[in-house]
Amino acid sequence: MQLSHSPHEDGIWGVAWGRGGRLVTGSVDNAVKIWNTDGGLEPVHTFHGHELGVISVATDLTGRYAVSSSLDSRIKIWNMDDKTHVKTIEGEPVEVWTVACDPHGPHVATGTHAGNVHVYNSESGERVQVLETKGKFIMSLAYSQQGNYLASGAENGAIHVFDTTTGRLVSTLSGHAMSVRSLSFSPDGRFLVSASDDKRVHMYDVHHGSQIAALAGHASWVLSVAWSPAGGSTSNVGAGAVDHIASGSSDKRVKVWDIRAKQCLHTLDHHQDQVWGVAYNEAGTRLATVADDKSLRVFSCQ
Amino acid sequence: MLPVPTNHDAPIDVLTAIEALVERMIRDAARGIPPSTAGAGHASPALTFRPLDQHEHNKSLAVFLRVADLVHANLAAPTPRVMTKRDVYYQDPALFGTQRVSDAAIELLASTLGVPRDALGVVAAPRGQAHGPCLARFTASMGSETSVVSFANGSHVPPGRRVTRLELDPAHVVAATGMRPAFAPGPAAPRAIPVAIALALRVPRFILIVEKDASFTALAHRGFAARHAGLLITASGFPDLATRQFLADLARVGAHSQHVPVYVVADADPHGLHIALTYMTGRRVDGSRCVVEVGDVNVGKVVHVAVHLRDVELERTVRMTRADRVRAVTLVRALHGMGLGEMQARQFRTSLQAMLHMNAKAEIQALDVDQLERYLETRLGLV
Repeated sequence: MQLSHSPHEDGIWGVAWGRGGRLVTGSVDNAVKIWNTDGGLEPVHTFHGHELGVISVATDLTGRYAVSSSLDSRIKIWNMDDKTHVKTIEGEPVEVWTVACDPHGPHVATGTHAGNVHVYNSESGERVQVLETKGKFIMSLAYSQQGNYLASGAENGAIHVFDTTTGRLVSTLSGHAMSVRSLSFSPDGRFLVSASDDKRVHMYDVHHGSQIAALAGHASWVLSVAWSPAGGSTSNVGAGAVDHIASGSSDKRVKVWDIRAKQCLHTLDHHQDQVWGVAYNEAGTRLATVADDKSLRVFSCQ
Repeated sequence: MLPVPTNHDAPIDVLTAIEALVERMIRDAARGIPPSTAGAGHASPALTFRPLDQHEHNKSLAVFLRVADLVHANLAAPTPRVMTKRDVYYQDPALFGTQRVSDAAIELLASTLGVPRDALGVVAAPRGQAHGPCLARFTASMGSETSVVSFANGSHVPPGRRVTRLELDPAHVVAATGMRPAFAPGPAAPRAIPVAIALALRVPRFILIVEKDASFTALAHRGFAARHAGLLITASGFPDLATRQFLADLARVGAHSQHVPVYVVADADPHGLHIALTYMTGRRVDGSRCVVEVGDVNVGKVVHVAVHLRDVELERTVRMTRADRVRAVTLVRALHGMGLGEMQARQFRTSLQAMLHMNAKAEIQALDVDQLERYLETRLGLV
């Protein structure tokens, strides 16, 4: 089953789920939009304020707040219940990219062109931590659901994993030699999947720092990846549960994979342009995808 | 007879002014007073040369006087001619050392007298080149000499002359070699003048400004202009004043009076888009997002037709640098002040933000010459 809408006036670069079936999208048209997905796909509200295109959106653990980052180097926090703007964090010019929310604290992290991760307190707007990779432009970030790990992917393929409590570098994951555009942890935080311009999706064992799989199939850059919260946990191998991941690519396709069997299960052809965002809802029952074709699509997963 | 300075705004007679200035400086020097440029004009702060010592050779004073001498000699000649800055340098390379030295002295003389450099009869050699089956009629900036230049074999833009007429030269038009597969259709561009009309009216089908030397040369060698009865121009990147003047004149006699469409091809990167914007709007963005006019040499209606990042295979793109990213953001923010139409502004906005998000850019050469030809043939509606 599929719902679709072409709400924004320009490409859509970011999508994230909120609480209670709410969706957030961020577009090149500078707007952040909120949607309801219970019984159809309905626009609820539009937040204006960014001066340039919205690079990414994220939601906090409560699902009440949406966070957006923009080419205008600002991070904005929005209250989706009250439909108000809560805060604007001013980043350094060109040093704000994708944004991620700490599941276990009032923190918002963003990657920088200089190769650092800047962590801000979302209540005070102050920068509280700088994690250095001494590497290149950080294009992607992901927190593990447990909140203990923060992973960053860079434009030269390097992936760094930090311990959020100590700020120390835990692992450096190699394998990609081209931009890592998106990262997603497994629900138990043990594994990480990455999407890269080398057309591959990689899977890594975080603790051991080793690469476990390289999935081929996309014909062009892989721009987004998400690990489904549903399915078996890794301690249930053999219990018959399947772990799904979804990926979106410049080849305009969305692929759904069985990550254990390392096989592509479905290829979805609905988008007309590069697919920048894929996101599963909390239960893993729905998959939202967004693309440069200005459309948002929601699929139900069985 | 004393020739009239070209800049009719300058009320002074350049020759007399130079004579007065030099005379005063030499008189001062003879009295032991440090010669200075003060009092001759009001356009620049006075420059005082070091006091002359009978044992010392003051080079900068010698350079200044030599330049004044060369300019004066030329202007006072029965038929003064336009000199390029290089010409001036080569009159006395032993004294000047480098061209920068003579260039600086020329500028100093001009600003001291309060006249544009052109009034001294010195012009920069335009970097621009043109190629195509066209004839252009020029008049000299100084005097009334006219000349006709054929661009059939390619030629530098002649210095110190103004275009008054542009004509297609059918003798050098080669038959097009037939239909070729079209390239990705992109944003609609006004079509070039149809072949039959171009031949009948003896106008070129189009004027195409190519940002890069290498691509201009490649297209010229393949006879692109000859086959499609158009004119290629390059200014090697950001156009210098003399080339912009040539283009503005060309647009006036070609585009405006004869409706020849003017297009620009640039790299699909922030710098290339900036150049395209400069041609299109007559304005440039400086580092701090401030939009400045580039003078009264607006080329008028120019269509940015290529290269668009989305038309280039991803494998042929390269990553943006930090400087690219800063430049792209600066440009996006300055777009609204460039005087573009809404749709054009949107297209540039989308292009620049796409580059930023994809972190990718491409040069014109990311398309091989065959692809570039087909791309242009499709966009310009040439076949």
